[in-house]
Amino acid sequence: MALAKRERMLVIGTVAVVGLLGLDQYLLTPVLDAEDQLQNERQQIVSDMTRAQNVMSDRKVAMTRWRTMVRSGLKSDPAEAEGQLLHALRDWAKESGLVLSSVKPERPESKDTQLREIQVQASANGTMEALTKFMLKVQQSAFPLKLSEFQMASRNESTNDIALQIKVSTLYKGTAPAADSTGKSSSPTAEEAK
Amino acid sequence: MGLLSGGSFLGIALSANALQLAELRGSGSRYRLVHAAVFPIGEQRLLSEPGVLGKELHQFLKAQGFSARQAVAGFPAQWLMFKEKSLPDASAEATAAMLVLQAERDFSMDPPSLSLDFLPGIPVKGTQRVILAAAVRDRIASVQRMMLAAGLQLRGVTSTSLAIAGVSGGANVLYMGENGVECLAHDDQGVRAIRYLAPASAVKGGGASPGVSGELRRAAFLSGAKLVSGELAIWDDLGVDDKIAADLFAGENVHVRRGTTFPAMESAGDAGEHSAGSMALALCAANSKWMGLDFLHSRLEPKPPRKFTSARVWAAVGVLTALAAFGYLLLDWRQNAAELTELRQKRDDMKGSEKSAKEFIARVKLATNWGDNRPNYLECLRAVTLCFPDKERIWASTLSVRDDMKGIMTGGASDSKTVLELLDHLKNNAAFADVKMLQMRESEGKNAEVTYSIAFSYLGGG
Repeated sequence: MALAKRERMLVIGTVAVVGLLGLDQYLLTPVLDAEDQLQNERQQIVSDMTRAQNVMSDRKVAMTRWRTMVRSGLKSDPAEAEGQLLHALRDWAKESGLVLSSVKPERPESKDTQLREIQVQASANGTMEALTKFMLKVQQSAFPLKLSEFQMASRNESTNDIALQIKVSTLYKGTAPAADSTGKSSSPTAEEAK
Repeated sequence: MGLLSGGSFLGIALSANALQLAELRGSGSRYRLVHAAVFPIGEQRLLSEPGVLGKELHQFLKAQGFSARQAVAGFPAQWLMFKEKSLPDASAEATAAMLVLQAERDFSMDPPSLSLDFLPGIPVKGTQRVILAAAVRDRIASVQRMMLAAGLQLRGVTSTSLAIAGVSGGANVLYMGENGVECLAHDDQGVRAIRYLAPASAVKGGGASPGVSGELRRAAFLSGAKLVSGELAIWDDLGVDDKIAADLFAGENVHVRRGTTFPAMESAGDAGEHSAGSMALALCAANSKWMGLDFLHSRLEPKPPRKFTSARVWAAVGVLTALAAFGYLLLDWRQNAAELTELRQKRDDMKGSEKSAKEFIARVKLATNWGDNRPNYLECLRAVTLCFPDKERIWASTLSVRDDMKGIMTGGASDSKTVLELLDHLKNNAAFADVKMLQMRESEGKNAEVTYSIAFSYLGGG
């Protein structure tokens, strides 16, 4: 069946248009979509990496602060931390003129395996001036120490004899967890060793 | 091949009984004759057994020392048909198209049996005169077969007289060759006519017969007024006596001179004395522009349809461009994918470090906050003390403060007014909040006193 020139041009045009549409549908569009997807994923990854780099920078700052804490007396052994606290209380009481009548250390359970508290309940008595000096020393402690309860009572209304009950706590570094999959430990203790 | 080229070239002037051969060698613009010979052929052998003739020619050329392979063959005017046509001035393509339409009516022979070409003229006043030439296609085919059998490469088939006129600079030509006497006339518009005048026998021997002379003059006159009053170069390959040649145009106003050598040739010497036709054809083999007519590459032959039409070329360019663009797209996509895989790996590697760093930062922050949020009990004690009225009799007996800085104070006073004054001082102090009187009770007896309990929250900064 011979085709006239016009018919042939129409057939060629139709085939060309259909072919172009097919190429666009099955070749060009999928490739462009895949390219867009790649770009989006790339942006996401770059964003993740930027965030991770910021975290790593923050970690350097935290490390400096952590080393300062360790130098100031943050212990890793609970007995050592407890001893440090008890010795300090005794020394401060002696220096202030307070009579330390009782101390009762406690190690409360904590979910945090790396930073744990040791609490000590202490009773003492002395003058208001001695009590003030003692409190000042507690508050100016170089090692981690927090006064969590404070109670004072006049033992005799006619004299300057005051009974003091306090609860103080200190921190120590707990046991380091196992290293993660990257071989790096998240423990401050491990970081400190670097 | 527009320029003169170097190498060896063979010119073959054909006639019914012989092939006149000349081999030229040269480079640049000067050629010299190295071999010239006449190869006799029998009557009608060219048409009947061209292959055999070609092999014999091959042997002959070898024996004579010819080495050229590129050749141009020249037909005598007797084998050609010419028709003068007047056409409107047009391009060569348009002229050819017009001539193709008219050629079928101009010759008595069946058009497919003829090979056609034309000599374009110089246009004058919007018209041009062209010479339409025809040769029998079978004869050309026989020549091609002969050349093929002889191991020669046939570069063209033209008119011998026209080749002589071409290489000699466009003069009027009277050529006396093996096939007879022929004349080529020029005027202002180019070639006017090419005519066969007489057989060779008419001028060979003692002299031209009066009949021949008359015929020559008549033919020359018919060839054009310019020839009658112009210059005529006689190229004699038959060895006709000079006097006889000059006598041909005795009494006419024609300046007759004898052609000796062509401008592109060094002196031909004795060997070239009777080889003007074949030498001119050999020069045409070196430079096709001198041929004028070429029945092998006719301007009137329909050109085969071009394989690469502009539409196809553009379509191919479009397809190639699209393919290149798509290829680039794919390549770019693959590179991006590879780069992304690398980035993904780096990110995954960083994830572990990021997690441990986050945990570490959290712990440091916790420890820092633990230490920074230490309650300032001394400040609290000082602030409470400053709230007591100076000159009144009031005192505190117990004070307890928790780590959230909520405290309870108990004590006693001389009267309730003083206790309320203490309460007001505490409430008015910005360092305290939620100041509440828990209880205030007067004791009975001789020395009546008031006991109280006040709760507060210490905010600090007061």
